Amino acid sequence: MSDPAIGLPEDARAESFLRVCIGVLNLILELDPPDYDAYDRWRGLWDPDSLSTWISSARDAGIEPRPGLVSVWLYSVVEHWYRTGRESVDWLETIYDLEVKADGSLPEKLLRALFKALSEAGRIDLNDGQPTNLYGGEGILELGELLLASGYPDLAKGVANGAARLLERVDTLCLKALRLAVRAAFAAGQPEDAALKLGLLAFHPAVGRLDRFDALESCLRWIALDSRGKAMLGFVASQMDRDALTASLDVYLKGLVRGLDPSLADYGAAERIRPIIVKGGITEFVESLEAMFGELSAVERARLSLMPPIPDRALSTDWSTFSFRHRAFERSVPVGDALRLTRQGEEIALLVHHETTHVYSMMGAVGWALLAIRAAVLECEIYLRMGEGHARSERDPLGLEAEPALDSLTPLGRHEPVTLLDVERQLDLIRKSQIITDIWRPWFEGMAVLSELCDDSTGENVFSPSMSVLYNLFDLGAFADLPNLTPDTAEAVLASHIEAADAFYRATVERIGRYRLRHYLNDAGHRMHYLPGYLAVRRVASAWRSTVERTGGEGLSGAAITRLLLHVTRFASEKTVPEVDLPLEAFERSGRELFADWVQSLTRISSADIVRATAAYQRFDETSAPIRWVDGRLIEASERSGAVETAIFNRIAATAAGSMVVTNIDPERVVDASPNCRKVIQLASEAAADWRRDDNWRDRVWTEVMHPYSILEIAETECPFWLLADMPSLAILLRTRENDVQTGRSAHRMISFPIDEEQCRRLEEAVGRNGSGRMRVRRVADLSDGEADDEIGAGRQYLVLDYDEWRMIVPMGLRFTADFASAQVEDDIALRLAPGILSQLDQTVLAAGRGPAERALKWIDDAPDMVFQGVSLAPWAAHVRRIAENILRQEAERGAADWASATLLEFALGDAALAAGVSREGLVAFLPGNDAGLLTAMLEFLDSSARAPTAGLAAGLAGWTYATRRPAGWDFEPLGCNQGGMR
Amino acid sequence: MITAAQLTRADLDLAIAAATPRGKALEGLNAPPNGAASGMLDEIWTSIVSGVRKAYELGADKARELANSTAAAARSVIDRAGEAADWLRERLREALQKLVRGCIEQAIASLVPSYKVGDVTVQLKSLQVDQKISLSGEIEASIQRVFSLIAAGELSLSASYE
Repeated sequence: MSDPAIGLPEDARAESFLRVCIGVLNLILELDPPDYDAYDRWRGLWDPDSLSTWISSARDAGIEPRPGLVSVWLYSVVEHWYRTGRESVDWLETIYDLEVKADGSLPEKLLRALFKALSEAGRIDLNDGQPTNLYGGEGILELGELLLASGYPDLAKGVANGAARLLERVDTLCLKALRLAVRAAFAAGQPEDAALKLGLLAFHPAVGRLDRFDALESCLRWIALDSRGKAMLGFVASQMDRDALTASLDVYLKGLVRGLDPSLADYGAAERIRPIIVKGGITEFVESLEAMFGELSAVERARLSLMPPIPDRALSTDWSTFSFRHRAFERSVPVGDALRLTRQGEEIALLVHHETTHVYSMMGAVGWALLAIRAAVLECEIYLRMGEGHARSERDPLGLEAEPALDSLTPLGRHEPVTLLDVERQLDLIRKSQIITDIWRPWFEGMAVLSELCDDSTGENVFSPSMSVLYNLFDLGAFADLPNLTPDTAEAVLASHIEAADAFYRATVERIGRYRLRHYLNDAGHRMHYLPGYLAVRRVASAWRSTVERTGGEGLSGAAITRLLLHVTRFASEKTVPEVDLPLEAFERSGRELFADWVQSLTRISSADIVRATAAYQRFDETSAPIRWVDGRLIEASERSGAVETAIFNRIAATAAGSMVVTNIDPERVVDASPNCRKVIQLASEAAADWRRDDNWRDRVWTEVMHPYSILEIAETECPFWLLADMPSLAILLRTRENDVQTGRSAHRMISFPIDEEQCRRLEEAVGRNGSGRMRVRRVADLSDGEADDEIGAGRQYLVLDYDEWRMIVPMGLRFTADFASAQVEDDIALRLAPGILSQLDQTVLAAGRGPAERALKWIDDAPDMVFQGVSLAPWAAHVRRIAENILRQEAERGAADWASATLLEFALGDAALAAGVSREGLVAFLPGNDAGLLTAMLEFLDSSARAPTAGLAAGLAGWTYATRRPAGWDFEPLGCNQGGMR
Repeated sequence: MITAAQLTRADLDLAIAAATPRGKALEGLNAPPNGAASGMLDEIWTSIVSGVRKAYELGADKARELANSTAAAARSVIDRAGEAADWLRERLREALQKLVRGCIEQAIASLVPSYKVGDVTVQLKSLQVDQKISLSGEIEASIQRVFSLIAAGELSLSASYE
């Protein structure tokens, strides 16, 4: 006994750990049986003065130190420690590196992990429990994780229990050890053990509030009323008495009362809802669930209160993910009519419409071009990571599988020409993406504002895709009790649902629409974000209305205009994207010209095409023939839109990937370069072109990264569930809104889903492994452009229920023709919700474009006088530096966005001086007297005439140049602009 | 000594500009939260601004009438605000307070910091605003007070020179 004060080896903390180490050694010996003759020879070489080379000495003697062999030796070390105390093996830490052959086998991994764990355990001062170095203790936990991941949960549990004791005074590590012990106990099929550890975890002084809540909840749901369980229950109950945060979990405590005292009869319902897996007594269980609904909802509210507040920020659609998330949906998932019953539900509906329009706008030619450019940026990143010499194979041409960490930017390599070329190419493409998004932003915003506020398709035979997402956000039965659906009743049910959803939308716009428009157009902080695009789309809308009316057609509603605007923005904009292999300045110049020409061209669309295209988005029960825009005219398409988008993607991605390698290789772009520097630039391009010929990987990028963008994740939460194994079915208690319109509190709904035997079995297994009584529920929409008979797209929505590796996808919304998701939708959901390695890299590299720019600046600053074979590359590096700086300056300068705003204002107003005035002062530039009443009248006119030309006009606006009367009524339109061009 | 600090039209415009609620500049593709309530706030505030400018020009006699009509219009919007009404009242109160503070600061800035009396120069030592302007959550009353203050075109101050 080396230290009586500590008590080794009698000290229980070390003892239990050493016992489990023996168990691990036995496992290694079983997996890699040793040659004992070789061991005897090796033991003969023992030299206490050369411990650090002890293992390598085996190899010197012709003995391969395999894991099994080394384990025999380590066995004796552990035994020695166990018998005589830790100080007798304090030399252990002097062997830093196990010179065992790294073959990736489990015995080798276990041996290394065990050695590290022992070494660290040897350094823990058991007097105060503090590891003596920064990493002390982590190694013990790593051993446990390895055992668990390798399918040895019993050993993992033993390691975790030992670690929890050894590290009990190091809060963070002790908590980790307890969590590992819980997982391992569940994985070992010992939930009663897990419950004991959960009890300890719940009331560990350092545990977070939410973790405490979850641990206690699981503890109470799994605890067994054996002697250990009863003791733990006593501890837990006494702690709960003093802890208001966990008081609501009393509902599960009540469920244990009859187990402790069978004579008590009042807690049957609580007892029945306590287990996660329910067997037998289905009717009683369902009644119990209903009886306990209030208390279970209180548990959810208590848990919600422990979560950090969600910041009240502007809702934003992300160019890099084609997605958005409203804060109301970050912890609740709307089902049924939840949207109508939530506070600010009306506003949330309009916001969802607005942002969904953005997402759909991105899912068009402009967005596909951006994705194609990003694919090339991604390719550059992969080249930058690997260098020319990296091993690739036919199956894995870019060596992705060989690269272990694709989820972050890595430092750049040597300062050599090809690296500089790839850096330039990547930044050049990122900058081009910025230019495109800047140019389009004002138009997208104008369109989204218009769309949000005038997409009332009541009485029309068609509706926009954004409206479709909104319709589907209300599930069938949200507006009225659902009758039995048969083919005969289905159509009427669908029609009445859409009618009710239209009524909700219409009432919303009538109540708050004009105020939202006012905020968009008149707020000093926001108006230049929205006003130019809004007035521009109104100018186009007036041209379309005028065109149709001149040919005797009916006036176009705001909803029809919304649909047409979205259609042309998505499908008629391909030629607005300049060739991506143009030099940067020429690209921006061309981008501006093409955009301005495109906007002008919209006013020239023929009446026939306008009428036809406004019907392009159909009701769910109809199919439509594919149509395409070619040079501003609508034609029948031979292929479906999916083929068009892939073609655009492939063409632009190939051009982008070839820029500065195959095309755009003129070194003249670097203006200050010497002749020799230019020659190096050219040689770098040629060298890169020589070995970059593989285009196949782009298919993978499209399939894995880009295509799943059609899935929009709308809402997410975690909820308690019960698996009714004998039915079989699944019941969940879902938080459907955080702020109920009546109570201001969160509201919940009990929902049950039938599941098949196989799903039931797999979920039951998963529950046994995982132990948690909560599952993740998300609501997603499929925005792909499927036709009605495809059973995809059209804003169809699904609940995605995830637990461990178990998943169930349940169709929601209006969909009732199938009760399952198609394989394509399932694949896209899987890729969207759990992005693969390529997607992660894409997000890391492109999240803001700042990362690569900042990395390039640092890299160039490390060697500003870059020289290659005696040739100064400094001018080239300075050129690349300027691109990086422009990328980082984008937010501050927004050159292309400001240009686009000014151009759109001038287009809308037909008067450069007035456009400049509106740009400076906003709408009051139209009102010399600053009359508040007139401003309100003008905004109301803009609001109402967007939906349909108005019959009358406020007296004060009678002379306003931009209020024009056509046969259909008053509309926003520069006087005379639709009768002969701009004034 | 008791003195009066004049509020010029330029002072008033500066105070209005500083008090006008405005959303944060946006990047990317955004939609501001609370847009409807913010639009209501903008409508009320625009009518307040229009009203106080008229009140400044037309004087105290007309101020009460203008304030009444502005307050009635504000009340009408707030009544339609539903669950956003409290938010709206609070933002309005803040803006009115900023307007009053801005007017006072602008007016005080117009005071001369020193007088020359013969060969002696007296310096401004301390200053006290005599008018009491307290704004409550009662928006109509607050609007009345603000209109009254601005329509007077000057602030009564106690200034001490030495």
